[in-house]
Amino acid sequence: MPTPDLELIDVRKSFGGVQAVDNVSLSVQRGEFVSLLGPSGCGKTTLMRMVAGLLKPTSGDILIRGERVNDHAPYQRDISLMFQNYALFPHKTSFENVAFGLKYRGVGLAERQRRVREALKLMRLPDIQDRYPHQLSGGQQQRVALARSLVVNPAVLLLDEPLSNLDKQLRVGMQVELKQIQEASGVTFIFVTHDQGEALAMSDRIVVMNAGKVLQLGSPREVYNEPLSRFVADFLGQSNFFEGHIERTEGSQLEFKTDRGLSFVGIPHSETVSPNGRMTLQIRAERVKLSSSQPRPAANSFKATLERSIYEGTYLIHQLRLEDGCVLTSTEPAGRHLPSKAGSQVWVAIDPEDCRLLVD
Amino acid sequence: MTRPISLPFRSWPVPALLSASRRHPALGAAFLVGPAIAWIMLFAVIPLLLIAAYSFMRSGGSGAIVPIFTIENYSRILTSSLYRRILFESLAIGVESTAITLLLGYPVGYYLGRMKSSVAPFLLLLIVLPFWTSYLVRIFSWLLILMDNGVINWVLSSINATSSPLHLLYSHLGVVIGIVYSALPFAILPIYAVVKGIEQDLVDAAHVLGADEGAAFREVIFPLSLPGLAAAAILTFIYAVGSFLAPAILGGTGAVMISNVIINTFLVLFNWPFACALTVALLLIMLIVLAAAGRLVSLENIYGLRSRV
Repeated sequence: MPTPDLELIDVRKSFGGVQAVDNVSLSVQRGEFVSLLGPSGCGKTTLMRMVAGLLKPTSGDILIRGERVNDHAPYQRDISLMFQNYALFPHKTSFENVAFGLKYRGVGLAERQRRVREALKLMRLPDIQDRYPHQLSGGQQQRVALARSLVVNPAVLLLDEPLSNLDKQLRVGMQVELKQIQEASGVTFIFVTHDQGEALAMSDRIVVMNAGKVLQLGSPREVYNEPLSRFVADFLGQSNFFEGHIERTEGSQLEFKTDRGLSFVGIPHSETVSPNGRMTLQIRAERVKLSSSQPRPAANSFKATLERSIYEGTYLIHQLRLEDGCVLTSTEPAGRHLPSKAGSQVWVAIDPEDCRLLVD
Repeated sequence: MTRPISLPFRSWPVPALLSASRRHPALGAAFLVGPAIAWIMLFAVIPLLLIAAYSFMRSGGSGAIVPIFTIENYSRILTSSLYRRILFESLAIGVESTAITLLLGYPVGYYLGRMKSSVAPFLLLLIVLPFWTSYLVRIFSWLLILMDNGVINWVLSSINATSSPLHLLYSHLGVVIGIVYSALPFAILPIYAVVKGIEQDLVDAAHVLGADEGAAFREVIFPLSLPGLAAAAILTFIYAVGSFLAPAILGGTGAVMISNVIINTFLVLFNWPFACALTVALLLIMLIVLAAAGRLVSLENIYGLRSRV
């Protein structure tokens, strides 16, 4: 296996007794797109700043292309960082902004000019090189910032929520573009975000963090479909959770009984079964099927009252109340839905394959 | 049925004025800006106009002003080498003191502005602390420091660095020292404010792109602090050229500045028209210098900062 571009070994950071980053280990291969995903305050930005050298880890090692860089200043590391607010130098033109990193990496003037022009062209920004940042639109500023951090061809490019200042239309377009640019350049990207959609859309692997710890590390499909904890299941997408216990096991299948007495049968046996039997059942909102009559077979189907439907354009979100009083959320693509009259009686069906048991 | 409650302040003029200003924005502006304008008109603009008017009149001796139009006061300034020399001396002291003040003040403002510790506000307080004591007392204390048997000469002679005392008092240098001392807070504060306003992200961006501390200062912090430096320069220069107490106490006859001459002309010679003409001449020279400086360092245009600052 080749030397990873970035390796974190038991990295910790504490701020006056508070563990901001708690024992994080991670290995990122060349050309990978890895997202650090988590809510604000989860430690993702602190972790990124330690990689950049803007913060010193309390303990642990940071290796860039096999070299331990703990004691290296940011300007001694082969990294680059794209800031959330872009941090373009307001007194320098776009050209000077993009050329800055090349200048301090000892690239000669002619070569510098060539590479800056190339980078601006790649970002589809050829005509703005003499403009100052405040003369550029938000989207253009962002491209200049990306060009500036990418043009130095770093071992690791860190991106700190770079899309969060864009409006939604532009953001989705930039996701695709960013991914294309990353693939074309072959540069290793560490992308910090709290936006699960961004992380799922672009990443090769996602590091889900909370309270300074890595909760799960895997491909977008893995972390979405096979969450290892309730936090990860809850953070990505929209889910229903039922607390309860395993009632009985029959071969490779098991029956789960919620605390309110609802019974789910035929759930595939998972390896992570809690010893005392207390578990949480996760059902994704988009996997809850609604029908107006009782489905066949009748197993795992429940009568429910449709309390309200929220129209979101692409999706309809239904809030349902089961007969035992539990609230259930179901989403479906809008356009082919049941008459969404509040108060109407519907049937809810859940495929046992869509049930996931979580330990906590 | 409930009766509408009549609130006593309904009859006060302020809410009425406020609501009127909502309907007529110009009225609201007049209401807000008016008092300040009136104050400036009464105590700055009208006196200045009076001074300008007097400067074209004749002196009748013993303080009398003869309302006959004349330009002889101005021709006297232009033809007399004495007044030209004093004006030049004042501007020279102004330029020197400004340069020294900025050289001393920039590092302090920079250091305080970049300081992350909570000690910074305390240190700032120490810088403005001298303002709490009388300016006169502070200038007199410099007398004790600079005079021939003062603190500096005592130290120099006790370490055998000098055989005879340095004549610091009643000299050009003494006046510059006094002005630099008293102008320093005016220079430090704007530099501090601008340096403090520089986003840390910009400095971090320079570092991650490969710039070490020196390069980040040269490329990012210093250029972005120039507006503060310009403000400090203008404040210090105006303050220095118009100095009166420092030259009066520390300069003696060794370094006479224009303000001292103006006050003398008013209060000792009682030649009000000529004093007024000197005042107007000083004002014009200052305006010309500041306009030239403003054109030279129009920072907003150079750095395209107009929308940010």
